[in-house]
Amino acid sequence: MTLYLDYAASTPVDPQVAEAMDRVLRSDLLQANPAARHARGRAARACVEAARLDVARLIGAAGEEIIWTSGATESNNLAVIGAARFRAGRGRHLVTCVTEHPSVTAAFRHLATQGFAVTWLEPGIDGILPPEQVAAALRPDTTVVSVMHVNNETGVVQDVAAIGALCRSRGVLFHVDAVQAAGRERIDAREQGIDLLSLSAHKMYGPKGVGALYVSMDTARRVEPLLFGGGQERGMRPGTVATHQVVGMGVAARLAGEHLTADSAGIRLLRDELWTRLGDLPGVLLNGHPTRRACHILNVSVIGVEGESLLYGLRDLAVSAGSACASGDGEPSAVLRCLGRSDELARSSVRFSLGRGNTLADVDCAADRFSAAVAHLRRLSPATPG
Amino acid sequence: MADEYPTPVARYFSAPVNVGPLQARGGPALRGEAGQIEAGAWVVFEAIVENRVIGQLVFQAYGCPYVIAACCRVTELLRGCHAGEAAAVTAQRLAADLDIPVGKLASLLIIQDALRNCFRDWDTTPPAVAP
Repeated sequence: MTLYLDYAASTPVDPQVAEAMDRVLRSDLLQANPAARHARGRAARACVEAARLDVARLIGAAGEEIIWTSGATESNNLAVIGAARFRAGRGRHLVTCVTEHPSVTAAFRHLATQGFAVTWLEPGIDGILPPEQVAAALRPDTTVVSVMHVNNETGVVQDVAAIGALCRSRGVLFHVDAVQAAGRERIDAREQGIDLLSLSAHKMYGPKGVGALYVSMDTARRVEPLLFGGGQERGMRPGTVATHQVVGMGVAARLAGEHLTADSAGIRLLRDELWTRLGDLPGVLLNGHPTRRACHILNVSVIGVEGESLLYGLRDLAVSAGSACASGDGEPSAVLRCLGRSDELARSSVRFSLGRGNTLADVDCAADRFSAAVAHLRRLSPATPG
Repeated sequence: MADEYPTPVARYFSAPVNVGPLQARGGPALRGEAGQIEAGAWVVFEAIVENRVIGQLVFQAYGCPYVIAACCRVTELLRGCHAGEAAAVTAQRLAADLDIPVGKLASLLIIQDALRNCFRDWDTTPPAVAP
């Protein structure tokens, strides 16, 4: 049976989340459109608003600051494009980092074609983006800075509080993609100076197809919508709210908050044990900062081992690779290239990401399989002394 | 990465055959290589030719599962054959044999080149001496 170690890609739905969604889907009372003014509409809306509060509590926000979306991609697109367009009258300069998630970088590249100037910052080889580097990039016409909290490939944690304080002092909006951080790192949007923050339900044991964008009432206030229609979500995201989906996300957020301390401590122990085992193998390199990393992600590259073969050798493990190259045209991870890894090392990278369901036995099993796959490929390699 | 590879490729990957280096050469062996790690494939063949017949042929490879499987296949095809037949093994033939996608042709050409380099001087190399 395949051992699941890909929690950064998606987490299984928590049974309490599934039960809550099931209750909504089976309830006659909750089938109405939550925007409707009748009693059934109000009943559905009450569920939606309760869920909104649960999500808000997870990040230290108020309920009215949460906008429902379809997931992380939409949240990131709406934050970046919506904020840049809304503030275009004040300036058209934007700042982000090359190691952001594609749903952020693609949004900035789109804006670059629309008359906006984008400064692309490169982190150090440890993946850390120093706040001073952000400070140096700010201009009088800068309106939006976007830096992710936890990198989805390496798990490296950025100092969002310092960057937030800097942006706040310069009157620049600060967007944080917190998709990998939610439920793993403490988030307090207000305290950390964050104006816009993206979340996804299925990265924290909720359902796929629903996410949220925090839009600070004090600072950002609003973003330009990307969709046009009704006035839902304060006019920033029109469309009927999917009651069962957001209820699922609400429960997931509540559980993420309740489990935060225990989850991160337990998963960190497993992650560290896995690295202890893998790091003992010759030629296995850790990607990203050794300590400033989220609890759940371990990304390694292997010297002298070809990536596609390594991943095939690990086919009994559900892990992610540095490239997808079945057709022979796979590109190495841009994030790892940016961290100074060669194309070959970027291609031979493996991301293990752990979650609530994993045990020490899973770590032992994963380490054994990894060790066997590397040894198998090295026996075949001309790079290995005979 | 493909979730599944053609059955022969998966079989060769899991249990590769004729893996080098040659342990007991017993005399001069032929050797040829091509590719490099940066190219995504690096292949080395070593062979011993006795009386114009390929007695031993082994490989070492850095590459994807298709490369490993194709190298195994080459060694099985050519063992016991006249050394001159090595030139007849082409990338296209290997691709057809193992159902390898067109996108991997560049890697198969590296195998073809390594094989050519290995057998380039097969008829002028002094015969192997039994250990």
